[in-house]
Amino acid sequence: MNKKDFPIFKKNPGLVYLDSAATSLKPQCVIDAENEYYSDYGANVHRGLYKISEKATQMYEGSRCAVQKFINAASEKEIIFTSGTTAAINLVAMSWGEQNLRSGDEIILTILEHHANIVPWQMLKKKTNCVIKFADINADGTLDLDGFRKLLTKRTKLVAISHVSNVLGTINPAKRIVQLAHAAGAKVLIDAAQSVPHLKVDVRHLDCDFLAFSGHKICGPTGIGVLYAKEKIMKNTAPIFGGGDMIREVYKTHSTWNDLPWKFEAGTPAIAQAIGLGAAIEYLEKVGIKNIQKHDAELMKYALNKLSKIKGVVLYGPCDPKIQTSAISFNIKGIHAHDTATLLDQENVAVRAGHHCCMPLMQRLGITATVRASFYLYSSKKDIDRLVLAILKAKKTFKI
Amino acid sequence: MDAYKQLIIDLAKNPLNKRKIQRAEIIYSGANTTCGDSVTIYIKCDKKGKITDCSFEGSGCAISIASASLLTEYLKGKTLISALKLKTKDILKFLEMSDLTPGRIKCALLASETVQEGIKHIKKPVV
Repeated sequence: MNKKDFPIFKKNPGLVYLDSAATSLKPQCVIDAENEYYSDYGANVHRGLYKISEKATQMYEGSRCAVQKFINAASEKEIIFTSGTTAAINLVAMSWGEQNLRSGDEIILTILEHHANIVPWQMLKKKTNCVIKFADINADGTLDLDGFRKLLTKRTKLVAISHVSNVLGTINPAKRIVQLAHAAGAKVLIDAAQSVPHLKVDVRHLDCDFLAFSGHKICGPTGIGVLYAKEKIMKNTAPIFGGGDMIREVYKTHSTWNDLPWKFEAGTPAIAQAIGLGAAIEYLEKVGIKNIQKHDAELMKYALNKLSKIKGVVLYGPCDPKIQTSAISFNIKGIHAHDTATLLDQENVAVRAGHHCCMPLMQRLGITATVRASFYLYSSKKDIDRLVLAILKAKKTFKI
Repeated sequence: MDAYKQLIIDLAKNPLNKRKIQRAEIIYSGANTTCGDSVTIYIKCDKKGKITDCSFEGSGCAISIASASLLTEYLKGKTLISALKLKTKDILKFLEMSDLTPGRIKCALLASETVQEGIKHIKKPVV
């Protein structure tokens, strides 16, 4: 589906790209939008009083509005551009986290989390002496919701969870988790890096307090991501990066802050990349988020069906297209994940192998590495067929 | 690239020298944390620093196991000093893995790096 929109397939004919969870490929219109900024109106934003600067500002802030509408945020003040999901989570930990958590306060994570949603909280723990608890998974890779509920106490200040697991593809019941957390008086941060590409994500429906995602995983450029944060929270949070654009006035003795969202966007922003992100959102909306969701679900069903029939292939996760999207992790019994990935590469099938930045999850599953195949709107059933053939060939090479 | 020559696959399934050595002069462990390869090297040597026996234990990808097999076999009868002098290109050449992609070279070098670190960390000088 839509392969013709993606120039990388012309440059790499025969490529079966199954690593979209790591990064998505880019349609020509996104590449063009970013280049057009540089070639046609590449001035700095916010301060210029001449035509191309005003155009740059209009396009940059236009992208912010596009993001706002894309995730149904109440206001553009709640959309802060960052360099990605990791930077967005770190921003919350270092600003809101440091300014609000005290010794003994509790943060709940899950064992599914990516390192980006673990390490910043460990760093916060060192600074504030807060406590980190991990919610566990069931045998099928779904979140143990009862276990999670039991972890909530009066001292829980934050629940930070992934919406979709980048290893198992598990779709977590985010809205339910937000309800439970709010009832206990805790705020919720959602790592939406793997959900925004594949599902309709509505921050007001979820009612999360923070949400982070990356542009490069939704067909946008690298180096740009979004922190959605409720206005009432960030209004009362001090900025952590100081410099131009985030101030209103600077004196020798002190400075006053700009309004949201610019209070948290110090210095010249990633202008071209934000404009590229706006073009990516426009492209995805043209294809239709519901169509993408339907396509992903069909592929997931097809892939799970085909892979489960190969003798010796171990599948991890729910293996249910209704509660799994984006990724399938597996191993071929008797072949190390890295060997599998290298053999698949010899058949021009690109997958990822390793711990996928989820070492606690690997330890929980009792394994060191998995092979991960992840697809997106440009992936096809033929791609899955090629994956299957490559797996069968790998088995033959290893005489398994 | 055809890294998966029959030799590598055969060695991965039936490794050479995969055993402990009792009272080895050198026992040292190493790992690639990114991919989960781990190896413990055992070296028995005489007072002149000549390696009389060499073995390994460990788990990991086919390339790391095959290279540990070939290296431990190669080192028997060599000196500790000559083991320290082995460079990356020498190792890849005698392992016949010169066409490995950069991402997999770490796997091939795990055993040799562990051997070299083990020799450097030896408590009693044997030469």
